[in-house]
Amino acid sequence: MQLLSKHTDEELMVAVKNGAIEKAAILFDRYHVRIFNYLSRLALNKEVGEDLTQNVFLRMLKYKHTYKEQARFQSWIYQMARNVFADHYQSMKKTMRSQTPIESLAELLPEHDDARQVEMENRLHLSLQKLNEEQRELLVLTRFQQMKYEEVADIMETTVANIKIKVHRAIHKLREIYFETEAYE
Amino acid sequence: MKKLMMIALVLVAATLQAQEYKVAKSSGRLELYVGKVTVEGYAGNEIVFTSKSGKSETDSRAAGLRSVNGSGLEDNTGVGIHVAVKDNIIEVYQLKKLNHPDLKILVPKGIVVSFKHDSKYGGDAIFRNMENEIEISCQYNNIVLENITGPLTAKTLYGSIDAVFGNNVKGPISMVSVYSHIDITLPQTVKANLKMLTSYGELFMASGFPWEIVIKDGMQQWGDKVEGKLNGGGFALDLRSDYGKVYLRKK
Amino acid sequence: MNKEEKEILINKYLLQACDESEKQMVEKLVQEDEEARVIFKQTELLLKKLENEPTLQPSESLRQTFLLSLANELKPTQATNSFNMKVFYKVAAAFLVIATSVAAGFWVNTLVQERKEYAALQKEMQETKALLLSMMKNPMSASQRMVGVSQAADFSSLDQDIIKSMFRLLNEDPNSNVRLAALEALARYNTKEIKEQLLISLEKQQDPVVQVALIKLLTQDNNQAIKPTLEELIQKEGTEKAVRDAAHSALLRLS
Repeated sequence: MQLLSKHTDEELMVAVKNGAIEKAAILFDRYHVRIFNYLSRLALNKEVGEDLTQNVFLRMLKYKHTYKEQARFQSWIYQMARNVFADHYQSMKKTMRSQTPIESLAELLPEHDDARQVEMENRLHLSLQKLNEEQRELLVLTRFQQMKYEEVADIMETTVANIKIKVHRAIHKLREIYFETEAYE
Repeated sequence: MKKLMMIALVLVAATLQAQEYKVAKSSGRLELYVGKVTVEGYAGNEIVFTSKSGKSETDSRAAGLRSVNGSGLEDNTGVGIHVAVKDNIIEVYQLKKLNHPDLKILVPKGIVVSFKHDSKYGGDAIFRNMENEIEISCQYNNIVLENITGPLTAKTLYGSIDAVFGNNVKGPISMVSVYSHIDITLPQTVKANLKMLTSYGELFMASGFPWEIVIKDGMQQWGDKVEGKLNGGGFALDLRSDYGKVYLRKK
Repeated sequence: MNKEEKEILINKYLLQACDESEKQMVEKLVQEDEEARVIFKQTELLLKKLENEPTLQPSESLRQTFLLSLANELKPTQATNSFNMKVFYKVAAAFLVIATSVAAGFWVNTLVQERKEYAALQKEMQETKALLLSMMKNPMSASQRMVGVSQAADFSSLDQDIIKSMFRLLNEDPNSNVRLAALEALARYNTKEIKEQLLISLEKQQDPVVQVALIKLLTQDNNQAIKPTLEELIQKEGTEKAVRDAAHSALLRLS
């Protein structure tokens, strides 16, 4: 269920910037599921993910004038999402230092009959949670959302080579954590 | 020598008694079907027509006769024009196709002024110190606008348009020439959606105008086309010359 | 080759970033080296797990909330002194609701309150349309007709009444600038039907400035169908020099 338009993301965003605010609905339809997944995975919580996603698109409207016409819209909106998450993370660190979000992890799980499957995925999530924010983000973007390294580099404003190294380190770290957990069971 | 000539001219002008004709209207629409005209805004509530050329010498032979001409119009004003008032519309005609009176008109603020002239026999159309809405449509006349605010639609096929706007510019503003230049001066603070277009001419714009380019949509144009927002955008400001140049200056 | 080097190479292999010689190296390594085999198996499993992670679906209220806040954004929030902006916001808001209701009709229609709002906005859109149409007909002021045209062009959807009015202005308005504004607005739609009607308009167009603009517009996508009309214009007595010039150079461009 989404609004259709033959225009590119960039054309639509330029239109929004120039006052055709209603076109933001089309951009929302194109991106909100991806942004929601990205933020939910980072925040490890679907509810928080929804709130943050809402914030991202409200910011898109509020800061529409900062959109540069040559910029790739995907990079711009993901950067906005990163900032929204960073703000959320900072305030969470301040107010809920002691509280771990592990309980809410269950929400992220799809409904499965197979108990073992649930347990395994739970472990994957627990392992992902032990990565640092950046590593988790990189895996979400490259593995869950299957973005190209170039796109990720554009979002994170760094080089492709740098992204390659970091993705490798994240996979390495995840493997260590995941199979260590198994070893200790 | 030049000085003497000037003095002589001034003396001649002073002795020629300017003829005057008034219409008590401060709203409605003034439609000018004459070849050459100078229109000025003023704070009164009558339209005042004066003819600098004055009335031709009184012909004693013509006493008791009425002047007739091919157009079938008679001078019902004493300043060499025919004026017809129909409700809110005041129509002004010149009497002969080839001869136009040297007409100057003072108009109150609330009147929409329209100038329409298709023949090649004419002179400049000059509009000065006006807050009125102005509509100009001609083929050969050059158009001169000084200290006006708009709204304005101006078209001349072969003539040029020179416009200097006052401070409180009102839109929309649309200027079109096919063969000649358009030269417009606007206050730097004007808020408008600008469209400048030419097929064979060039577009010029004062540097430092606060504007941003907007991506165009729809059918692609060849030639040169610029679309942008001045000071964040506002009324429509369309400037088009197919073969001439377009200049946009700031005050 | 130490453990880290092996792992880098294996990751590269599994991420499909290896060239042929590296591929062979990894395959050989996995066969011969126990450590490498473990790393390979583990990483392969992990990557598969990551890739198999399902896409999470947000609740419908996320979309609904955003569209509502967008609609609020579009509503005239302050009493702007500019009449034009008000009209624009009304049109935009109305358009948004129409567009979203077509796409997401279920949530608009299921909720009574929203159905009322929808009806109200639809009414508002009708009124706005009527207002625009009457502005486009105002005989006393060319600039009102111009404003009407450009506001109506922001109406976005192809409204037949508005298109009809625009064509009437293009063909019959006494003011060339208004005719050009109508042409500009119609050109934005860029459909086959509109192009055909524009060609018909060129045949009967009396205003030389508009004739020149039409020739320019209709020849820029190399449209050969316009040729007979151009030749006719050149032949016809009373065609303005400017139009003849434009027709000649257009024919040259097309051939």
